[in-house]
Amino acid sequence: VNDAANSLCKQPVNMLEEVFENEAVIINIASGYYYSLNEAATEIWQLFTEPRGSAQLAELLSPGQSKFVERLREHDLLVASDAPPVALAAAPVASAPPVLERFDEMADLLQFDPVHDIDLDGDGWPVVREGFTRPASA
Amino acid sequence: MASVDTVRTAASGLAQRLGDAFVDAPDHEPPLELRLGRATIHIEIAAGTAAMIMPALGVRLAPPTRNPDVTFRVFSDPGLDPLGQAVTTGTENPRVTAMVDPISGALSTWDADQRIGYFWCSGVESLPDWDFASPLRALFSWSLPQFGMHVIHGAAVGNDEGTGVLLAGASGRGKSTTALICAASGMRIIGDDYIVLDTSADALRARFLYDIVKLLPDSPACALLPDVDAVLVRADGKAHIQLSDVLAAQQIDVLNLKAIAVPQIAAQTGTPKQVSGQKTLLALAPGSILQLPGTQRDTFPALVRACRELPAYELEVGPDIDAIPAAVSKMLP
Repeated sequence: VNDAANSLCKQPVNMLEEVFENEAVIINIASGYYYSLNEAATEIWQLFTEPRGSAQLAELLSPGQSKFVERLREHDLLVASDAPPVALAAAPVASAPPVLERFDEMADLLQFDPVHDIDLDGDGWPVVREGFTRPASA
Repeated sequence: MASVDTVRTAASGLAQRLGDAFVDAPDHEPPLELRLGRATIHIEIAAGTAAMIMPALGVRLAPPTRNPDVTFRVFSDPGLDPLGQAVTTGTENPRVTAMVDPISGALSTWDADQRIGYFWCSGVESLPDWDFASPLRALFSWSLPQFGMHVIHGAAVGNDEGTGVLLAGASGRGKSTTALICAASGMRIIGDDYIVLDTSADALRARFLYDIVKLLPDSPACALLPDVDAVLVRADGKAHIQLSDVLAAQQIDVLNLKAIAVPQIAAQTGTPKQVSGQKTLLALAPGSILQLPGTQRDTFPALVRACRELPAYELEVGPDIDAIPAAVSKMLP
């Protein structure tokens, strides 16, 4: 595995996160999904404050922890990065199974992404999501 | 359907076009002033949109006494298609935030440099119920952070000394009912759905923003309110009640917050149980920042601060509603 081209880091866009007493809250403001992580999950999550190399992760993490990293990728909370990986001294001690809980009650409200800072040098303005039709009256 | 490209083109000159259309709109009313903490907001209304503004904000509005920090211009114009027409590219203010309501097509824009917000709709009859219960919510959400204030999804009740509890949690979990039952029992109330969290001082405060509370007609709180039969049950199935009509003596402009409570509907009202900051943020943040897009970067840190500084409790609320005010009061010093 070529680590330099294959590191993992936290999703850099549209994410808000906060850790309270070793338990994280993560909010994806684009999808409306939000997540709670228990202490074991938060320890793994916090490894990715810096990009980490896949090879080293495979070496250091327990099978359960590796599976959890995969889960974070499936939810797009971790993404592949070209950034050079930062070496990890040690894996967290797996004290308990890592638990990620996803809440989706707000996601339905976000069928339309109506807001954008208009910045002509940036991404422009409202992204109409697939399947959305503006009311005829507008 | 407007393609992304069309909409992006239309963004150029949007503020100018709305400004011109507002000037041309009929039936301009004298400007009104709303004082909120250290912010002075002038609201300029035209073309019949007072019907949307006045139920929830009328009690707070008065003739202007000073120059505004912020101006909102509110109008309807069925002939305007602010996003759809081609626009000549010109000098564009790069810092305009905008939102299209996906139901009504109403457009809110906020120009942070000019400190002017526009709300345009094709007609007030096209607006969903929430625009009457919490009008101009996007404009407040975008303009207040510069004053250290944030529109959040929550209720707040307190005592005569001006200290209070922030009630947080998703809709349907008992926030409004808890708030109204407390107010009907003699406690003070700020609001039940959207309120202002003021972080501008050392102590966190909740401020009154909207005069409307919304309740399902079968809520136990309805039975406690005088004249509740007279209120309008809107299409969302909820009774929209003007607090100043039914509980004027209990209304208070500001409360110093001492706790956060997360109500849960239960078989019986319980004693408040302390919960973690994580659980509290999960109850408070998604409803505030996902429903109020465009403010996340400002408002999320304010909510985190509240969860760190204030003790938080889970509060089981049951059909024994007489026990609720005492349970809430246990969280106050």
